[in-house]
Amino acid sequence: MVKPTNINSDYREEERLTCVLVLDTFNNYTNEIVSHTSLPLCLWPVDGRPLLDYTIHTLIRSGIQEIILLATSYSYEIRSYIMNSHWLQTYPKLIRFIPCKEARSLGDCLKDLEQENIINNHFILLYGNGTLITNEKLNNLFNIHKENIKKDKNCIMTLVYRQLDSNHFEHPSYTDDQHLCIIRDANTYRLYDYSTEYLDRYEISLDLLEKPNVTIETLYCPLDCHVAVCSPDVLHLFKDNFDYSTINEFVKGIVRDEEIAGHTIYSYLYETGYFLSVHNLRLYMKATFDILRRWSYPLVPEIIASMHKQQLSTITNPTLPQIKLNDSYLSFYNICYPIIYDKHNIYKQGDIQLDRLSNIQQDVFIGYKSQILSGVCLRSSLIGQSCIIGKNTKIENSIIWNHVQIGENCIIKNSIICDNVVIRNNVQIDKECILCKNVIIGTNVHLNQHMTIIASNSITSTNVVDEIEIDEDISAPLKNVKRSNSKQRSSSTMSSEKSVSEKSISLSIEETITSNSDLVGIDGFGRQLSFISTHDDQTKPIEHTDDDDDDINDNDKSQLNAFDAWGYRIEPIENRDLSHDDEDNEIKPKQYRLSNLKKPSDQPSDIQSEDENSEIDDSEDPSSETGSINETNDVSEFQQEVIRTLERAYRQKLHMENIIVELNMLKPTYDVSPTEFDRSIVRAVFLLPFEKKISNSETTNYWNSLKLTMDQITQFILKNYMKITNEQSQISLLNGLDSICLKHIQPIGERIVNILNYLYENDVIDEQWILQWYENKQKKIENNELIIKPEEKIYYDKLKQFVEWLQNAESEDDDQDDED
Amino acid sequence: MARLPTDVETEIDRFCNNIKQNTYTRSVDIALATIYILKKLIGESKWSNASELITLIRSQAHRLNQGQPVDSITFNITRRILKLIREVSVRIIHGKNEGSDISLTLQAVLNDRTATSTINDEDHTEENLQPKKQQTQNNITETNSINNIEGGVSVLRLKPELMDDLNWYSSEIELSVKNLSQQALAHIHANELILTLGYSYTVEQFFKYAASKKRQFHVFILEHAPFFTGHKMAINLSQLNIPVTVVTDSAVFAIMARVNKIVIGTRSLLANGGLTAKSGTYNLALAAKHYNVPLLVCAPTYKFSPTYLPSFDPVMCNSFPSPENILSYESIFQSSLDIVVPMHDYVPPELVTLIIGSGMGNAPSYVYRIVSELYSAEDNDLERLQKESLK
Repeated sequence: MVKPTNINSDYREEERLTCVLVLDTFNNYTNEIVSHTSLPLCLWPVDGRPLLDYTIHTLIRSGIQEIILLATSYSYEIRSYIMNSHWLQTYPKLIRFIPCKEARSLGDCLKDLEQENIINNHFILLYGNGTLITNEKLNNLFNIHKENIKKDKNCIMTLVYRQLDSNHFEHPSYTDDQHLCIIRDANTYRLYDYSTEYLDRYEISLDLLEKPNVTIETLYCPLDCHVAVCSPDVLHLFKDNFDYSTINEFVKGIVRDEEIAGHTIYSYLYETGYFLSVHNLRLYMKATFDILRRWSYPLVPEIIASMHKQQLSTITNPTLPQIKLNDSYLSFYNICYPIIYDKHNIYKQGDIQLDRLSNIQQDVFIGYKSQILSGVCLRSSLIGQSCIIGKNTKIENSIIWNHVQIGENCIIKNSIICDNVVIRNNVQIDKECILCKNVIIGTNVHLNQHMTIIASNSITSTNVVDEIEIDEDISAPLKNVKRSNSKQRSSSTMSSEKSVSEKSISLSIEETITSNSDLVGIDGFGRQLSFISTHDDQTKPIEHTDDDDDDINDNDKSQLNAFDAWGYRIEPIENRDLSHDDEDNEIKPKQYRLSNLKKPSDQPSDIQSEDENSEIDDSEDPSSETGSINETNDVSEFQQEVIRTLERAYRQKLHMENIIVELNMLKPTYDVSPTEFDRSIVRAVFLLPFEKKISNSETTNYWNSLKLTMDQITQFILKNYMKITNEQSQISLLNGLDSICLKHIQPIGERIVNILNYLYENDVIDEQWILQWYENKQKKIENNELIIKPEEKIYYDKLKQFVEWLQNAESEDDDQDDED
Repeated sequence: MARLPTDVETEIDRFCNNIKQNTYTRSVDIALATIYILKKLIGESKWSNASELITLIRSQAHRLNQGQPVDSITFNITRRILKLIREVSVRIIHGKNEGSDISLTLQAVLNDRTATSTINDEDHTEENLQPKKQQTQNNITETNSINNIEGGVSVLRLKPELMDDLNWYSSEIELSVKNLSQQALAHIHANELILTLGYSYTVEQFFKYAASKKRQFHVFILEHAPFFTGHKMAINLSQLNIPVTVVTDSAVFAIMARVNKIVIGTRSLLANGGLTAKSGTYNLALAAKHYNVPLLVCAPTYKFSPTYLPSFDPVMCNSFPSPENILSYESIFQSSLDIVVPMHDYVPPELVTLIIGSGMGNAPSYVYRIVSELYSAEDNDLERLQKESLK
């Protein structure tokens, strides 16, 4: 006899199974787009229900007894949804909601959670937007984690992946931001190394291979479920180490400090089951279509819809009057219409008007009260509630939200169209466009790939500047508008409804300015949202005008994400030099977009383009630009490798000995002569600050970044290889520095005084060698063996200045000695 | 009027969610859970007389069945309990000395006959005038009209008797599979070769009983692709030392000539004797017909449904799970590929030889008779009510 009561009661005696959902992607690009749709990504509609519902269903199915939602921005929307949904009535005490408005990263959220002090047991953490769709039950993960702990007391986390049978590039739910390389023990599944970087090669430290009883196994690009089973200690670690802002950093930190802190991380690989963690727009579309094709069964629309009983939001909590404010956005979730499933995976929600001559092919969801007119061709699409699709329009692989009107003879492919959008006749929309709320697209407009059209003025993210093809004079008042909006937003984040209404008023005034008629047509309304990276110095002053629901000055400038909202890798744009040149600036982003589209997304044949991309990457490397032509390939490759090693060492703060061992290992690999080796080291040290990942942070000034790297690692490297007592190596160091300075007069040459002074003060170079070297040089100049070009003059002047100072200092020293 | 307390509401919601998410593995469990819910509903909600209770349960019936568009188990249980309520009220009114059960049921059948004619006419007026009518009903002396009988039975007398009956009913259901399996020796003869399809708890118990009585027989099991529940069945049976052979579904016609008998389970048994059963059963039944192999269907009482197939559209009475079992997710990156995974088949009654119920074997043509004894005819419209509520 089975207990007919709730199955959850089985676990109640042991402990409450808890699951923590962090409902934010922390991706600036995604959040920016999301901010124009008035719904957080986790509440975006997936086949009639919000994305979050599917996750909660999964968790309930898994027997989870407590779900903790951590929401950053949009906490009011999420909260009002939860309050009005049936979850609270059916499962009281199941869902707990914690707003973390100040949180800027996963780490911040978990710190907030730690302060709440409610986690005493192991818990499942769903990160990466917290919206996992799966048909597996997750409760066995607790047992796996506990078994890991039984074997190894220091285990604090078990990461969950899904094994892929095929090449990951071909996997439909692989996006660039899921790139991952794991090195683990094949028997115990203990994690030894972990990298999310996009490299051509990964290094495994030799110690690992020498360890007894460890069989090393590499997992390259398993599907990341964004699930981690954590011990309660994880929260304390996040609290103590405030530099852990993401899971990646956490895992790397734990693995690196393993010998000190003694914590270990394990991994678990699912071999079957459907897993999709939705954290970018491409995966959002993927999820919608996968659910229509029933991969997530039993989480399919008609079953989910019938689970929500038909209810009006009669029970609203009177103590929270603000919640009602947002109802207009979310009200369509409150009423649940039954869904009828028909063959070819066609879902009809309640009452719809379907013309006899319409052609609905397969995998289509049509929402309540939508009208499909004659000749319409639908395929793999989601049509929301109260939409009107005009005659002979063709829609493929697209998601259309509620209250959208689409005219006649339109072609829409692979796009997301949000609430209240109007599309007039003969419009063509290509791959991966997003039309945000209230946009109007005029007749005969053709939207190219990868466009984001917005209709609201709110600029919420730090690093966003609108790219409008108008004069500076006109854009100046625009900035003011943005500022005023931002103040309004920050002052009244609570009543976002109100600000929206004001916004809409301001919209009507600004229409002539903001709407880009070239893009959306004369009878259209909207403009393109584009992102300019912070590399560009010009944009800097504007960036700090505003920020994401958070009125605090954002000094720790949020790092730009390496992936855009669609999950594509963003190629670093070499716009440092181009920033002054507007034409180039406009062409450049397009180029990178094109290269993006070649990326492996749908067609497996595009893997080759990946290689091309990486080649482009290499050629963009500043070192190769400077590498002299007469050097052999090996040497220039070797030099790049050295730069890369140093860069990694700098960012990961590796130990000195390890770096030197690594560099020494490179020598035989590339078969370079000792002199070449020395030269490369010197060159690498001084070119290191040019590297993107280092120059990105805070200081764009060459000298400042050089000083930073010098302080941390490179001076020790120089000391190690160019012994201060060894004349030959000291001279070669100076010669190397000299040649670099001559090549890069602009940032390096003019700083020669600072550089030499630094090296001198830190005992990297002895003054006697400097003087000797300078004398030799002077001799050469006198003998006309060396010709000073006019632009090099500044360098020699500075050099002379320093040497003179050095001589003076020396003579003073001598004088003092004499006096003594 | 009668109203549901909130904890019963949440209980119902949870029950629905559990069913939808396949937490119950056996159909018996669903049946028992339904009885449990209805018991709770009868016990904890407020109602003053039998007719109020009946309308209350009828109003909740479609909610209980929301989780399972295909199965009719919850409906069947609900109908049976409604019937019990009616019976108990009749018994209370006419006194306990009325006679044996048989006469009672006969009278109930008679009452049903009259009721169907009256109720259909009164349907509209009844809802509007309910409160008034009840007041007047209490004054009217007990006549033959079934409404009056139920209206006159108060909570105090009805509840204890009804609870007794419900307890008895739930124990009957618990034992139904056991009772059914005890007929195994009558059907399975020595050294027979018996074919079955996939896993069914009832069929497993059926074989188990026969094996426990030292009957020697050989079982062929169709593996039931793509769910492969047949493998589970094979393992379970082989542990009982029953000789087992697993056969692919596609070979069903080829092996049929060797088979002596087919024993299968079913999801539900329709009023005309037809089945909605696992996909592949129709093939099996057609092959059996071709070779004149008897097809026995094990169906406990709660699977008897008074309804007919809603439509011959195979989509309407079917469910379609994930295509993962057929092709891996990775292999499908082309949207031109479409996978259809139906879970159920309809088997027309002419292909079925015998239906083994909890009491004894019956021909499919006799099912309507059993059904009309089990349920009262006025509750046959529960499905129709559900469809109306959807619209």
